[in-house]
Amino acid sequence: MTMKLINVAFRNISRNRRRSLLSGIAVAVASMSIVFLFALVQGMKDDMGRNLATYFTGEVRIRNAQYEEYERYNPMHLTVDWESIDRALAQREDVTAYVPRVTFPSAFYVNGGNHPALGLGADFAREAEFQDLESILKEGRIPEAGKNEMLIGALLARDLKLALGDKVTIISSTAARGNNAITLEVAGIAAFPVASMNSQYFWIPLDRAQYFLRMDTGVQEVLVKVEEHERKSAAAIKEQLEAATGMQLDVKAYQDISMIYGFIELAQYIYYFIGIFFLLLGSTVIINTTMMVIYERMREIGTLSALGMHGKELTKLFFLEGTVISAIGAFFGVLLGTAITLYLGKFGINFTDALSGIDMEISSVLYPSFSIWTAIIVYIYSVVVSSLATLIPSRKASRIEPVEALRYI
Amino acid sequence: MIQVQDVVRNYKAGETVVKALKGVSLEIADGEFLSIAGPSGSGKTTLLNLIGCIDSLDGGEITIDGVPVSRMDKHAKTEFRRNNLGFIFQTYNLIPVLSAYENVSFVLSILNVPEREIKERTMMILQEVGLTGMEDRRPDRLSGGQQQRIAIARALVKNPKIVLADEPTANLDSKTGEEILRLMQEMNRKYHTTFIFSTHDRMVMDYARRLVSLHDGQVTGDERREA
Repeated sequence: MTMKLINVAFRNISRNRRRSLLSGIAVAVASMSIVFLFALVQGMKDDMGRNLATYFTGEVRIRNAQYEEYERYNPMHLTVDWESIDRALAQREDVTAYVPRVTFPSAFYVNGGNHPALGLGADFAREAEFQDLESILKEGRIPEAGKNEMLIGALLARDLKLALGDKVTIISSTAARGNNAITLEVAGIAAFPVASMNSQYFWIPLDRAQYFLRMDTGVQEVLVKVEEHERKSAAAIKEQLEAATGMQLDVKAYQDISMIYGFIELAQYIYYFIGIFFLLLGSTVIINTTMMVIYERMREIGTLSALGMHGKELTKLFFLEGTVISAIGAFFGVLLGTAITLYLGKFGINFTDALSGIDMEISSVLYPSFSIWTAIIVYIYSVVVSSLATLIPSRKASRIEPVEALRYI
Repeated sequence: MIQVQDVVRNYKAGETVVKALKGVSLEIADGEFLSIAGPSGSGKTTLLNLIGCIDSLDGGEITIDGVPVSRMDKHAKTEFRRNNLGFIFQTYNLIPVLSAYENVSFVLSILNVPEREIKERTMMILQEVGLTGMEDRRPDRLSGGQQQRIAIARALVKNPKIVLADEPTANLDSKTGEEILRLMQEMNRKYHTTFIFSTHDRMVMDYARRLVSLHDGQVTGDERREA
């Protein structure tokens, strides 16, 4: 019987193709939007996680325990001992890479004026294991250790009208709370994926930063990449390092450092709810269509009821029609959403203008992240929600008295 | 045997109560070919609907083969219709998306008859009503007479005890109407199925072996004729 009803449902859909198409399109647009929306949010989350891990915090960040408390005062003296940390981390199997970093606020003395910028001291030889610096190099080369050279963000270089080979003097506060200046040559210009890094940062060799900032062998932070379970590793690393160095350390997983990352994680859950509303909105078209169809086919309902069809079977008939439309609509919607996601996942969406001036660890070009499981779940979810929505008007068919239905004009 | 005892049916039309049937009593034996005749508004359709268990009465009782169908709930009435009654409508009421074959076989599908038996019975009844070769045609590609033949086949395919036909020839020309009536007569004789049909057409009344006249919701005549 169910097979017969499915057959009838299919044929009824073709009765008014335009209307069925409209209902199908509504479900398709909703499904497509959800697939893309979820992929975009996942892409943002992945991108931010990647940027945080590569440029800002690592997957696990190690700092002096007091640093965060005094961070707003730029406590350059609150360092960690790089050599002892290096020795301890080298023994850990869950650690895949780690780099020392020194970040310092500074001013570029250019054309008789001071321009604020953020300096970053890095061990470029180690950075090669941590990130692909060559790929973001737009012009020139990576600075060499022991040389007064810098790798500058492309936007900062443009704003300050600096080109390769130019020499510029930098002023900053030191760990000894004095001021110091150093003249650096632009060795390379980098196109960092993150807008804020592009417009504010310049990178110099770690040894020159330590010398310039009077930090001896200390570093401000060590960024670590681990195999998995960042939070668990952070706790284990903290325990081991504190025992090995005798220092109080602040060791945190990246998820617990960036507030914006936390917001994105929250946004992901919010978008799941928005997804439901998208579909409910699309389902209103199906509800409306089914309602119209029921009134249009009132005599038919009366006839089927007179022939002995029970209310449940009548509900099933209209429910199946809605389900078939939902299934077809959702299939094409998910397919289209997947196609759009894969296309944009390859070529990206350029948010350079929208993100300019926004200090977020997010790339200017975002790549939606497609997942086959998300597509399957969205498909099932779309069919279930839209079909259940059809159940509301379909139940009306079961409540109609046959004598009234047969009289209906 | 159908027993209609003091049946009352009132309808509300706004503030007004319309008394459609005012204590109708009637006994219909198995295998009768009976016409309920009367002018518009006399209560013919209401009486057919009540016997057909698709309407509820306000007084009296209807029993079919001793079963008090008028006291049944909605579900039991549907179940009773499914197993025992066939319907023929003035406007044929075929399912437009189904072919002639499917319109007829659908009734057996509702009864969960095995697929092979469905095919045999459907093909046989379509042959009986003269529609062999038109099984695959949808209603919109058939004439009014042919559509009503499908409706007759649909009503008879499940071997019901009773077939109720509300003005079955009203939408047909007189020649086709007579063909349909002869077909109904033939089926009545062959299967011994009780046929009850309403009409206000003198020609249709002439085919009935029993003519029950209704006027203003009351039986005004009950005439038995020779076949």
